[in-house]
Amino acid sequence: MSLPALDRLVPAHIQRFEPYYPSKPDHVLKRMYHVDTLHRLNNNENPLGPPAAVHRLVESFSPETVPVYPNGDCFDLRLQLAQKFSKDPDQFLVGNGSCEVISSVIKAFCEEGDNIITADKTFAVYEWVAEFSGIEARLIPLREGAFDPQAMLEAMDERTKILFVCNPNNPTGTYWDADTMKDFLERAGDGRIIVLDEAYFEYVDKADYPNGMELMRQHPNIIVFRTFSKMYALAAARIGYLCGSPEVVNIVRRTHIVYSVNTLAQMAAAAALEDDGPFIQATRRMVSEAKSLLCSLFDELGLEYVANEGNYVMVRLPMPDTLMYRKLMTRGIMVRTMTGFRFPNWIRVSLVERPVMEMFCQAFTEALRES
Amino acid sequence: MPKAPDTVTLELPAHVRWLPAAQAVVEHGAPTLGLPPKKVVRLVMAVEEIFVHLARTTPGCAVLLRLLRRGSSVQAVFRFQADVEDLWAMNLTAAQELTPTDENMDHMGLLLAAGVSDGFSITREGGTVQLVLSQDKVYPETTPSDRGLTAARGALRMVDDPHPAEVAEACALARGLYPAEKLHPDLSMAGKLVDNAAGGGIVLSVAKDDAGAILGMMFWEQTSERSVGFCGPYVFSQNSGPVAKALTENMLNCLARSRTIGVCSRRATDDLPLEGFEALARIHYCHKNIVCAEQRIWFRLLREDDGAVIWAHAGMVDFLEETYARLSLMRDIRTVENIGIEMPARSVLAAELNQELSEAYLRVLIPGLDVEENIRKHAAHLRSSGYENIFFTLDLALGEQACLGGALMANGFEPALVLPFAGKSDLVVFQHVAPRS
Ligand SMILES: Cc1ncc(COP(=O)(O)O)c(C=O)c1O
Repeated sequence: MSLPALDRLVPAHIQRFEPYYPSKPDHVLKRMYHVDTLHRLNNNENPLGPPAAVHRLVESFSPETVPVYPNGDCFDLRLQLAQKFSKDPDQFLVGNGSCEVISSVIKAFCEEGDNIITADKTFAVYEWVAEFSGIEARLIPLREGAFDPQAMLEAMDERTKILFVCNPNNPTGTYWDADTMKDFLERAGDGRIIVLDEAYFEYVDKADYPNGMELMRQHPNIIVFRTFSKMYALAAARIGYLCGSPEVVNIVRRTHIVYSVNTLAQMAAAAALEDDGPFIQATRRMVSEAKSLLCSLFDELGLEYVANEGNYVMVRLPMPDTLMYRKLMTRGIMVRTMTGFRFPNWIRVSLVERPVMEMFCQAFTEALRES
Repeated sequence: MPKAPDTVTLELPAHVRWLPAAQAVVEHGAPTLGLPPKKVVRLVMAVEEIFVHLARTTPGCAVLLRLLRRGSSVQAVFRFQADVEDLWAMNLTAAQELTPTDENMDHMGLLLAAGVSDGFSITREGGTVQLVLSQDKVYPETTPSDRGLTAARGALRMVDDPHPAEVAEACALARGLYPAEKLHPDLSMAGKLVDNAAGGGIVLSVAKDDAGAILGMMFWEQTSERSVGFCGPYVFSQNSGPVAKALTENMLNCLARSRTIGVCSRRATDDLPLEGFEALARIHYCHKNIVCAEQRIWFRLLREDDGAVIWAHAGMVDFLEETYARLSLMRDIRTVENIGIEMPARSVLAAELNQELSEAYLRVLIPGLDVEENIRKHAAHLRSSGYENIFFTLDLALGEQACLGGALMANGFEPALVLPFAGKSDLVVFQHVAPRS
């Protein structure tokens, strides 16, 4: 048997699409880069976590649970989320990471010929899912490092179905304040879905930062994304969710895969929400300390940087980002190169505990000096 | 209805009975694709030679003949199944061994075809050989402009699909402002760049100011599945820094979410913002006897490098270790002297020739017992045909290629640079050192 006729079988938009290969596992990278330890500062994880309640849960998790399917639509967790946000459980859909719900939303609203609008320099998955689904992604350049509401509105046409706003934005950490958001929502009207990706919501401690969960009461075309991967430190469990008005979520439910969230993840997420106040406070303190440490180093070195909301900062290098990556890797530090985010020569660094940040500072300074 | 591509494809048996059909397709198809009459005659001739060759060596075999336009050239592409042992006559040097007996006349055709073509290349995948003959369309020369540098007005903007007239203007300005060794030869034929951009062979972007004045240009092309070669940035603005930076960043942003991993300069100007690039190598490059200059090659990766395992002949290891250490690229180098498989008696080298650039790229298509001798003959043949820049590339993902390092070094080739990800893995490029006269 020979290969199937792929050029005839595969739609043009899939043929054009380049698969994404995530980084190799630590043991492979450590061997390649000849290091014994590797600190991952590339994925904006929270090393303080997970919260204590999750520790207890994981430790007591019974192997007897494993043969049984999880609840197919995260019944208990949705109940808990509904209580936390004073909403109806049917307003939530939980996914295998919030990445999965991006896909469900695009599938629910878009067909060939439609388009979505987002920024050029933001989380790539909105653009990717659109493109491999044969939907045009209109990428609006950031304006002064932030999503540009005016240009996004101007890019809309009758085939625009969804606008994705990453608030705060990964990787620039910029956000639309309540007034900007309100004005945008009013001018966008109710003819389209507005996604507010609030993956880093819990990191923002600003009075003028708008809360999508509240906004959707006046604007039922809003869908909010949140995740347990970032603040709640459950990245390995892969769990995130969306929330919207019941009618809108009822549509998305049709394209959303059931049974995709495993039992441990569902239980861990519920546990993480229990008494999250002190944990969030401690994480914010860690992030803020790390941020000032890095910013003073960048100031000292005379480097341009972007340090806004979220648990990450970006810095512009006088060398290729990909070269800095390799130099840091030989010192056991892994960062995110930003050429793929269309910020050539920038790297993004996750903000973590002080000892690791200090190691980063030293490795970074050495690597700069070397080149 | 889906649009049909501007291509003619013919599947026919390799038999002289079918020669008129093959001839007719090229004779009538090539002018439709824009080839001028003189060039059509040459393409028909080359196709005849190949077809007759196949009819004699592999009678009755299925041959796929495709005629297409690829940017500025019209190509005839043959695909056929061939036995490795039958391919030796594809060597450029085969003529020297061919006494004019009937049997050998079969093979002469290949050489004649290569000789009349502007481009000739062979690739092999499993048992399938693909042979490409190309003829370039003819373009008027672009006259250098003496307008000098522009004083930019207002904001800078990037245009990714410039109008042909804008490309012509940019070419004229580049020719007026840059020394010959920094110019890609195609800049002297704006029409060729325009056609290559329209055909998707190159990507071209232009920087303009608010008043519409052209401030700079840069272009790039895919040199392998995962690597891109660029020329420029050519800057025509008095304030060159921001224009050069914008052109370069625009290129990187265009490639950012593509399958490209490595970007490498083919002709970098002094305007290239060096902080975004790594110095890869310096090579000695000659162009039509006029200039022989040291050319610096700059590169950068677009992605995080996970490290890789590569093969190398022991003779290349020092060069590779030094290069990889300098570039901070993690590579596990495994040495290979001889891959220990049974080899055909005769090897075949593929040659990609570019007369205009006086450039020949050799690569091994079929390793054979006589490969060292074959390398020597090819170098001598290309030198005597006037080629000044002779390169040989080895793909370090493939042990059967990597082990040829010794044979190359014994025959006047020296390792010149490593192109990360330019092949299945990294390519090492050897350059033939001109024998001292
Ligand atoms: C803005 C944004 N949205 C969504 C995600 C996806 O998170 P997950 O799929 O882990 O929930 C991320 C992760 O990096 C992110 O940065």
